Amino acid sequence: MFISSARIIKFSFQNFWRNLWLSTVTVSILTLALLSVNFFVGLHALLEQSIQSLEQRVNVTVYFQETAQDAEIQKFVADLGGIREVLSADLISKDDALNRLKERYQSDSNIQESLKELEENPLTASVIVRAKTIEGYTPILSFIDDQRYQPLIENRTFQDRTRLISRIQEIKAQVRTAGMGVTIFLAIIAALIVMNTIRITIYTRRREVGIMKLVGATNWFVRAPLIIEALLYSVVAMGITILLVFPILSALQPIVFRLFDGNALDMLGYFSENFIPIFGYQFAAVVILNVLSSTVAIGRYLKV
Amino acid sequence: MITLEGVKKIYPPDTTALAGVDLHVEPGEFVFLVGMSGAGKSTLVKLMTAEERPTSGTINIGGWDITRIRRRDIPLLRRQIGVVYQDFKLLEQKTVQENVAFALEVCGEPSKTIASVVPQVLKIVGLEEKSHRYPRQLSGGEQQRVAIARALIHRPKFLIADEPTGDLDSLTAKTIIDVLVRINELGTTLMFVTHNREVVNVLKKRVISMQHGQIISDKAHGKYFI
Repeated sequence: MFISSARIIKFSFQNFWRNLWLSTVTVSILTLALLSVNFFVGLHALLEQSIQSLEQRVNVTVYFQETAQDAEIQKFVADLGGIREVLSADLISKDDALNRLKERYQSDSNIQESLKELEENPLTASVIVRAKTIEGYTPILSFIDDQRYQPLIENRTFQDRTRLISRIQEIKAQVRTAGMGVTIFLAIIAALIVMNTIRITIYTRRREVGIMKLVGATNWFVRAPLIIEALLYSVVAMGITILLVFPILSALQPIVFRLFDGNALDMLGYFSENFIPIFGYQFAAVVILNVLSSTVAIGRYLKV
Repeated sequence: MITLEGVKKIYPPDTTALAGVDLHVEPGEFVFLVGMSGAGKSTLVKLMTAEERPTSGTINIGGWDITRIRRRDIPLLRRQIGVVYQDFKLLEQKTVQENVAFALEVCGEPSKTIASVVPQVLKIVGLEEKSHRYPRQLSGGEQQRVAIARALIHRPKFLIADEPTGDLDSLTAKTIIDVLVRINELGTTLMFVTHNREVVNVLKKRVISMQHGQIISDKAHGKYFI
């Protein structure tokens, strides 16, 4: 059993090598299919990160009345922090607000002069609120607009990029659906091409298989090397894909950064950190596809 | 050694390839099976190697009734019968040595045994110097000798040569025939299927003649008269 298994593996490698042209074609087709899948993985990750980046820029700023007491402000902020959808509520005192203004316009001498002449701090305390999700701003705004807090609040702003974000989310959903569709479509094409390639391989080797059976080989002794060869195609194709993906990402990264004004996802980092899930699932899928295709083709064309 | 009783083979719907063949071959015999194309010779060979099943009748080889052989036992049968074909049937992607060794590898023989036996058999057929060549690098006669070596490697008691010289020139054919005669002299039962008149008439062995799926003549020291 052990001797036969070792021989079967040896024959598989031998057949892979001695039918190098056919092996090269099959591996190339698999590699192209895998590269396409990786392209969509990268595109999807890039879009996700862009959406997140934009979402983080959205916030609500609440400006308090000049007459609002510190205790009232603190209570308001504490109550606000208790809302489940709130990610952060950063209180900025009057003094902090003035310091920030001076810092922002430190190169503008006119504003600096004007600020020096002020006897009192004209700015009021404020709180900057960020939600965990875009959808979370609805209950937060409801809270802020509640009647009981109106004596406290002078004004509130909502830096509204929601329309843009909604649009991007729509695009993201469409890309995700299209990406899934294209990936499935590619997978089907890849599967059909692989099956056809395997079919041709096995058809080409019908004579060889017939001879092996005439010499006394069992069906398993004939079938197993062909299935292991299919596994070898998967391993080699996956290896080549991985070797190509990272240099391609390195080359594309500067271009992507320029396109997204420096806010793009670090693709290399993303693929490195998620190496096992990204390439692991792909490898499993391609192995299953290849082995199944071979099994079906062998049964159909070789009657083994 | 080999007994066929009432063997018929009918291909649907109504093509009779063998119309009731009775045949007995003793151990160690050299038998010619002759006839024109379509006489049923190849069909008989296919039945004896379990490539096909008889429609009726029984086939007994070395005490084993193979008439209703189970699919999983067919490889075992084929390991016990050596067969040499007209088109050699060598594995193109394997070397001479690998082709011959393959017959032992399918039996699960250890590598050490294979490494010692294969060179010996290649020496018998005169191909020890070309063991690392591929079939495409050999002449027709050399390829046929590789096929004979492969057929002999597990010392079968019964060897079938189905038109072994069909694709060879007369000089090369003679070489092959000499090898087969030598093998028979060492004790292997040999059935030589041919329609080569000269070979049959020179060797003066037992000749079984077939026509229209039936045996029409069986002479101990026969001639090709069809």
